[in-house]
Amino acid sequence: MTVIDETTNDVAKTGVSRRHFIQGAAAAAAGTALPLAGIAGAGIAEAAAAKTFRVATGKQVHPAAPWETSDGSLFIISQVGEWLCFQKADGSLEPRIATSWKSSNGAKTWTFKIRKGVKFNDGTPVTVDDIVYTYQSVFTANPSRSKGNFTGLLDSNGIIAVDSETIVFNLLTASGNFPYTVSSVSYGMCIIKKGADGGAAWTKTMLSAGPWKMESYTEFEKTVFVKNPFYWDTNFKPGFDKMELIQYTSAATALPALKTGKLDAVAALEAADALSLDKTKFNILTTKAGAGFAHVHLRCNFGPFMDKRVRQAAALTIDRVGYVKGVMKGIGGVVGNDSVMDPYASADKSVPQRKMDIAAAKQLMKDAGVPNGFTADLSTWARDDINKYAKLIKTSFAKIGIKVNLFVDGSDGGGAVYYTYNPYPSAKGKVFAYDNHSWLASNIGITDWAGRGVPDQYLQREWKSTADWSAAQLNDDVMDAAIDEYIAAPNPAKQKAASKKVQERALEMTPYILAYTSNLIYAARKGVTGYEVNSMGQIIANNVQLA
Amino acid sequence: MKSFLAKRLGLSVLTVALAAIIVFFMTHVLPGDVARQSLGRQATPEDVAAFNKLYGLDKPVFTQLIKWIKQLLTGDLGVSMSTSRPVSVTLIPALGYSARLAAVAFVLIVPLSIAGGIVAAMNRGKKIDRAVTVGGLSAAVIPEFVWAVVLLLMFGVVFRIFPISATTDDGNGGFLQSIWHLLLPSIALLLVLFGYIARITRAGVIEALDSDYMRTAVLKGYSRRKAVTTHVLRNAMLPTIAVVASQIPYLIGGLVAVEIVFNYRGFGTVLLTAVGGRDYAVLQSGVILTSVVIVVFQLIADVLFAVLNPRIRQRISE
Repeated sequence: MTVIDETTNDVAKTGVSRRHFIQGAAAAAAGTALPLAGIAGAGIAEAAAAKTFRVATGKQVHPAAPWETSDGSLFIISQVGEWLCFQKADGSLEPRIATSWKSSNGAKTWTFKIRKGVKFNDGTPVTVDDIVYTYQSVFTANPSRSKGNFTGLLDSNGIIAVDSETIVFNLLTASGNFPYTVSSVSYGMCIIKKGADGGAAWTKTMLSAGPWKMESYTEFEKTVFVKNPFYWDTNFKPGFDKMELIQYTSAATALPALKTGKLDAVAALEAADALSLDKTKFNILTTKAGAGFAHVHLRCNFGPFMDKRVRQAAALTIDRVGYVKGVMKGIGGVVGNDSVMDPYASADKSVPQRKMDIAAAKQLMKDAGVPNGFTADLSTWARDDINKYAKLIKTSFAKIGIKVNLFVDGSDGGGAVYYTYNPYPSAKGKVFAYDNHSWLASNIGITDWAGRGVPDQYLQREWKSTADWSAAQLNDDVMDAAIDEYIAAPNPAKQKAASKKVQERALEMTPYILAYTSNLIYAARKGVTGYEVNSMGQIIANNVQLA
Repeated sequence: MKSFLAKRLGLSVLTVALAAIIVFFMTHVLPGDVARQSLGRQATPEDVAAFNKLYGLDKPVFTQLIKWIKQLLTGDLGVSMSTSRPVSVTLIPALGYSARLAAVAFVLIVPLSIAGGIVAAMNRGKKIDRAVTVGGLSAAVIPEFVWAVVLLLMFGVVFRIFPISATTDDGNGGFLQSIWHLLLPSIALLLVLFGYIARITRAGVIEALDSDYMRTAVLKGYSRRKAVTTHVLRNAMLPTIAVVASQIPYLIGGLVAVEIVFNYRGFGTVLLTAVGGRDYAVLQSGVILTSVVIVVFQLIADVLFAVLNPRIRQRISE
């Protein structure tokens, strides 16, 4: 976590839709107003006296229920829920219901020791049977939005209560980072009571064992929490009595409330909105989001990018440092290196970083037999940062003669056209003809990924030959072997050795361009201390103090 | 009058039925995979198939249409694909919110606009007339979301006279507190609609003032004030009623931008979210409710029109 001290502003000037205008205008209005408010003699300190911590979050789409949660509702569940372990803002895992865990059998078996005396927020004890039920229900519930996390990794027979303090997971395949899968990273899988309905009905009670207890829940609007009197951690002493999570269509529309003291914090911000905040009155904070950012895929098994030299040439055209410093103003951005491994602690830092080299790129194009370049379509969906990134790709590729036509899906609400799933790669070596501008069937595309504490899911679902979200459709045994080695690596040393192989193979094959990584940006008024957000966007309010 | 009402009612039902069929097919041509949108990227192909089966999306479109219409006829709005709850749980509260905002706005807009139009007409060519017509038109050409942001800035953030959210802080609040929170967004709407309604009223009043019956009334010895209240307003209000009625549906379902700026979960925001999430059930039922609101208020306007206009009343009685 770092405090940003940039002095520049005005990041987002392009791609202004009607909705974004409204949001931007609201933010700009509040930004202009703040100095005027000072002149008028109005302070922003009234929230300081309150013992309620008010935070703006995104809107929920689905119910804030374990089996159904997605997007904005994860903010709610992360307060009332409790997991075996919890991902901290620095990306590491913190023991919660589990006190410790260890692997055996080449990371195919994981044993978790369960903390004594943990209670649900109604005062009843949490037992190993509750924990087993929680994980088994993922496989039987319908809908079950977390099930995909366990595909090929675990089935319901592999979850065993050994005794009242021990749970064992027998995996289908070795996984060195398995604790992340049963942590808060699987945000819908907080521990629920045996036999409980984890669907929408759960929202009536929100019975779990997290630090906060739901006092009132108005779907799509606001959730109010009080301290869970039965919380296991006796050091849980936040400096307020209640917490309110108030939902806004966008963070920008929440800024007037933040600036007038109606809110204490905002859970996620765009860089442009963050820059509009007065740094003497607000702290702007960031959390590294791992490899959660825009991945550019270059289709490996069809079309003009089949030759790896062309892909390497394309990757060499991008001024990564200039983009991060100039367009991103350094906020939330660090230079990427075309692999999902680099942002993580397990990465081998000795692997050389890829830098812009137009001469080398032109030579590679010549060697590949396309010295004059070609024309290709880049498909993606509309969002301010992705729009800018798409333009960077277009202008960069043009330096070596690759003319890029942009096909940006403007349908609001999540790129309905781009994120269609037909065809749906799921078998190794299966080749789909490039026939449309969707995510998994496009020649070049930009896909936005959420942050993960470890790179496992990117590797298994995006990079492996059998990956079901493999937009690049790389079919490479060397990469597959390196990925398998990394996934199964039982300790950090072996993970680092395997990571090096993945990183080097990624540079060699270049199925994806990862030119930058973006961090999560959030903010709080001065006087709020201890406020953190992890890479999943989950608010950590356990240690917040209000001055 | 009975046959007039029956005819109008029949036309209203036909309008809603046609709207239902159109919205059904329109939602089904929206791009994107409904199951994927709802289940998210984590879902497996098996999950997608199960979702489609659960909501009948694997059935032919006409089968889906017939099933939906049957549901509607029994008052069942269906189940939301996003929340798995009855659509009514989502739509009815939102409709209530929107109706509340529309009511406050209506109470503010209609009397002020009509009064402005009458004053302008009675002072034709004078400064006050120009102020109402030019000022009203100038305010009307600025979109409501711009007014919303400007008002939020001026009266919410700088001077802090009004609350910056249309929802009360505790989510409930008393009646007066609720109205207080809705005033600023209502003023934004007033600024947009005032000029339009006032100009229509002004034109109607001027036409009535220049009419033969007004001259006759004056010659019969009526004071100008009495002539205006007895004859002019009744006739001048006819076009105004039509205009006001046509704005009701906009106030109920068309205030997405204002709702977003003031963080108000009204009907427009719910429908916008449903479009984004490809929630057919909410979207279709939402549009049907909107069309019902439109035809109901159009019906009321027609009846009022008939009651106030002797020529139409006579034609109906014939």
